[in-house]
Amino acid sequence: MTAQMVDVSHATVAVGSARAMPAREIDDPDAELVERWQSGDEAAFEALVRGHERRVFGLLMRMLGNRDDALDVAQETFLSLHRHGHRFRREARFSTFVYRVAANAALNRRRSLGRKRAREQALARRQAVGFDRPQSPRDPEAAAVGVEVQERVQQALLELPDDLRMTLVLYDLEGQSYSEIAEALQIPEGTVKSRIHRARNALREHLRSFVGVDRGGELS
Amino acid sequence: MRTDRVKARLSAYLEGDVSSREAARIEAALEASSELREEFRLLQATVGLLRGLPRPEAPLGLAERVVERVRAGEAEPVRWRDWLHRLFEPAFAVPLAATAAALLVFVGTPTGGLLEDESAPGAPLAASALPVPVVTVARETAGPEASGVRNSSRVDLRMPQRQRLQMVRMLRGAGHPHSAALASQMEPDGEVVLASFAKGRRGR
Repeated sequence: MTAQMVDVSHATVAVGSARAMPAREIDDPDAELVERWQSGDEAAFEALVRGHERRVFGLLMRMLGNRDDALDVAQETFLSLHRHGHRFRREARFSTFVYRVAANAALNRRRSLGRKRAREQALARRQAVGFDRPQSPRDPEAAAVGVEVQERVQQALLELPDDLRMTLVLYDLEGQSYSEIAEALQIPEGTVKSRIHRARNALREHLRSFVGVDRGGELS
Repeated sequence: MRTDRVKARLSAYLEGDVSSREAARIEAALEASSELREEFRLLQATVGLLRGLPRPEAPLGLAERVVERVRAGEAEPVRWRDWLHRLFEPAFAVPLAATAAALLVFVGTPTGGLLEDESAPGAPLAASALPVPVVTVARETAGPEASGVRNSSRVDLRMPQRQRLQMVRMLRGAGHPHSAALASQMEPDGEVVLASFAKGRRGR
């Protein structure tokens, strides 16, 4: 399939360039640390935590929308990893295993939070800035617009059902492949694709009134 | 291809998840419809915004806190012995004992519910025909008319000796004053009424 590039101002999206599936032989950058950790080296575990803490925290922030909850669940994720580390058979990347544990922890927390609190949090988020600013804002005005856009996108994300949001975040934000997401969420690849496309369509509807597109395809 | 069908497939098209035949149809539809082209641009913009979200930084000290908790033993696997031991802590044992007693009452009722069938024979039910614990139904055919109640019935839960001793041991193990008190009531030989329910039909 031919790939073509479409510039959409804020990011470059490749059409027809689905990420390549990982080879059957797992090329895991964490393999050595995992081996040391599974042999009882606690320093290796600490190194693994440091290596994955940002992506775990990022995933949880996108899923839970609340810094305290994300921090709490991130700790639980790593404790659970340590507790069940012996079950990791190195048949997938360690990062996929980490995402799987984090995803389960996030979904459990979402269920326990309940819909009411989720709505309250969504309201609170509208009034508070919970996310990082762009690293190098072009100018103050652009930075302000960037933060507003980020908040609206995050808010729209939180409106999605949990299963759609988790799949979308893993794909579009965390850059996981279909097969890695299928492995992490224990669902078929077809379901992964279907969820991503449904989630994007829903997100498009949520952002329709917010994102204006002129005839040239530029955001307005 | 219908417009709404194309709209639903635009994300798949964007990712190259459609066959070449479907891709050709979608491209033809895009060529023909300005509405679809705008939908496609909106989708591209949405995905672009999504992918442009920065990944939040992990809070300082997260790894240290995790390591600290691991050292404190919070990541130790929970063994079945620990769970068994927990069952005898008062916080678990007392509600467990109460729930067990309540379940025994309901499970032991032959009709599956208490006193639902008030037209049942009034004689006490034979113990051999019932699951343990023994539940007896006693009917007072001459109800206290003064209170307006007649045909009143009562269900008593009686436990065989072996089960009673088991429950006494469990209640004593709970180490809670209430469970200990209940255990002492159950210790004497003879029939012990764990629960008694009465229900009467108001006279008209």
